[in-house]
Amino acid sequence: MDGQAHVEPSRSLQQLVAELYASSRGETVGIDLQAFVSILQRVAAKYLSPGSGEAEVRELYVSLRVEELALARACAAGNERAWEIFMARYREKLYDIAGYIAQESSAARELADSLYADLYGTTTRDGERVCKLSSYTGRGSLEGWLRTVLAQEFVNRYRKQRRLVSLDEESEEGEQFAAPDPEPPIPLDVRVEQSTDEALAGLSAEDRLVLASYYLDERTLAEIARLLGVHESTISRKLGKLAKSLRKQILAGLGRRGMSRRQAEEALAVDVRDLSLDIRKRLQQETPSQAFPERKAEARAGDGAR
Amino acid sequence: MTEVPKIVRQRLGLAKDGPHPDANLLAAFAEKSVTQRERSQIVEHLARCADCRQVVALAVPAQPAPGPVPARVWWLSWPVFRWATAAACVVVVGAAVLLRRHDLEREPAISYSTAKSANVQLTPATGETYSAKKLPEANKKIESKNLPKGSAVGGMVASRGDISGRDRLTSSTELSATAAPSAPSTLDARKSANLPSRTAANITAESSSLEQKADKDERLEAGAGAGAPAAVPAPQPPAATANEVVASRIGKVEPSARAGLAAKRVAPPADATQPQVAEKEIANAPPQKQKQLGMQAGAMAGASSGVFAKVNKAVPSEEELHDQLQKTAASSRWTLTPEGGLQHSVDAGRTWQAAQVPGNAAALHAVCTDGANLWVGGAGGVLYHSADAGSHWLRVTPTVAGKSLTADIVGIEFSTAQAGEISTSTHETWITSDGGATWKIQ
Repeated sequence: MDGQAHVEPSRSLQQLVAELYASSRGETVGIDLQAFVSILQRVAAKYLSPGSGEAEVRELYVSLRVEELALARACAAGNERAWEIFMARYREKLYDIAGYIAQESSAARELADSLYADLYGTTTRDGERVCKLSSYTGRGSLEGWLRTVLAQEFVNRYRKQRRLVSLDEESEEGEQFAAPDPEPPIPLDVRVEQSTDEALAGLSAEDRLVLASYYLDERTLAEIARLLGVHESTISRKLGKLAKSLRKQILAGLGRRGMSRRQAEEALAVDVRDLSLDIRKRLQQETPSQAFPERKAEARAGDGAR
Repeated sequence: MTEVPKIVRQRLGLAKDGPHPDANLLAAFAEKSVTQRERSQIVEHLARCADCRQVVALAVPAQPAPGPVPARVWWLSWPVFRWATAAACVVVVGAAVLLRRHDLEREPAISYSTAKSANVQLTPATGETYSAKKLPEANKKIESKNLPKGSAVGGMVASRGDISGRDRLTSSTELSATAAPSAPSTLDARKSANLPSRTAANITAESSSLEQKADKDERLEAGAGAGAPAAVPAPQPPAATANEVVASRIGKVEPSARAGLAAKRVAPPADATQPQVAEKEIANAPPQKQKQLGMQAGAMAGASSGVFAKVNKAVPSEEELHDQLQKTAASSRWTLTPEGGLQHSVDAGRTWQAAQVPGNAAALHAVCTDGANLWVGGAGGVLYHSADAGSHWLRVTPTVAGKSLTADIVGIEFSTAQAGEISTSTHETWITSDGGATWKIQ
């Protein structure tokens, strides 16, 4: 790797590389052995730490999709034969994947065409043609990589579009009644936040991923199961257990922070989204709750003055 | 499902994400091909980053979760239920085996029961059971055009030399088990007997009367043949099938001899499956025996035609098999994976299954189908052909002037079953016009 003294690979590693080169069929797409070795070394440098042993290198090399890696790099180098093979294999699949992601034909076509341009290398950087295929490292299948790249492009576009919502769309969604200066919600008792953070920190990353996917992203059990490679019922059971244990742990945390059981349960029962109303104060002053948010803002201003 | 407190959702969404994994790692994660350490890092990031979660969710192919069945259902761990299930399986399998055995044993009973009623001693020659399953090959041959129409061969035919009921059934079992190794030896034995042929199937009562009749028949034929050219002895048939032997023998009997035999013979039925009984032997037999022989002939004919009709019905003809194959080929689809594997669909592409070409380990890069004909080729010049939509494969090694094809095959095109060409990675085109038997390089 860069900065280190060059260590001659062992004979067995050389033999492995030769076997991988043979199975990559690199010669048919214009990738010679030396170029292939160079590709493998760059991939190893990307995913392995500098002090990795030969066993780790072997494990990485063996896990690579060498045939697709050679094809992608040959395409990036502009080899015509490689492009013929790539188009024959992936042209239709690319449009199918874009259709699945975008769920709408014109958006799908636009997405696929845009990726094609990036793959072919129509953009230049510092005078050099930049081809997205040169970033494929063979860790997963080329089709999976194309799918991920398309998904990233789609998510990026959607994120941009969210910031540019038209006024017509806003009015259609009932935004015309939105308060001109929405105040930040009045935070709950900080002890609730601390106990919640503490409970969440005690969960594994996978548990938090399941919770986030289900409650924040509103994914179905099947989708989450597919993501993690487990059965749907496993996710269902996990969510049920997590919900119960989280509540228990948060209540325990609140108890440790000086709240009584009843106070803790009340604190958890309050909906964070309604905190701007401060219902309790309204009820005590016998002031009817206002129907429209702009009038809520006026009421709050009035209350603040008292 | 129990809902989590809303504060949990709020705090989950506030988690800060770190640097995003690149598309390679996310794709590898979606395909479950990352190391455990990498997986932990990616999962930790996904738990915090909504955008990456969305990317991965879109990148995962829409397939059912491959995970193993979750925790055992509690009642499956109950030992009694497990043993009961195992016992039930044993009972079902045993019942199936017994029923099958009963079916196999039942087939000969058709001939056995009628034979018994006529005091015929009939036993399978080799102890093999007389089953419809063994008959298909023979049955096809029985129906083949080699056999003269109206001959008795379709039924329970015996050639000359069947001087015992044992041989009678021997002939049919041999006809049914043409692949059976025992058949040729018995045929050979009969061939070596070199006895004159007969035109009728002899359905005789007891072994002793069979022997007598055989002698009688010889005398009859000798007499009938007087003044006419002697019956040409049956030629030594080739080591082929039993029915071909019989057919050749029948064909060789002189017309005059036949006429003599047929003088008082019951007119042969149009149905070739019905055996004929020389009326002369019935006429020469005592009255009581006449009736018996006549009944036997009719019963055996009915039995044999019934048996063979049953077999005929069970076994599809070649045309039906061909039609079936063509229909299967119409909805059949073949494709190749990027890894060079072969995939097959039987429902016009709705679902796909991995297909194996036995003996092939090379990556495949080209496939061509033409009805039931299927050609696949790939690395190192491997080329395989199937003429039955992938049921059986034949390795084809294109060779021109002693030089075999070793370059990768990247394209295959067959316009007909015989004429096609293959393209190689070395930009050569190999052409065949005889279904791959010979090749030339363009």
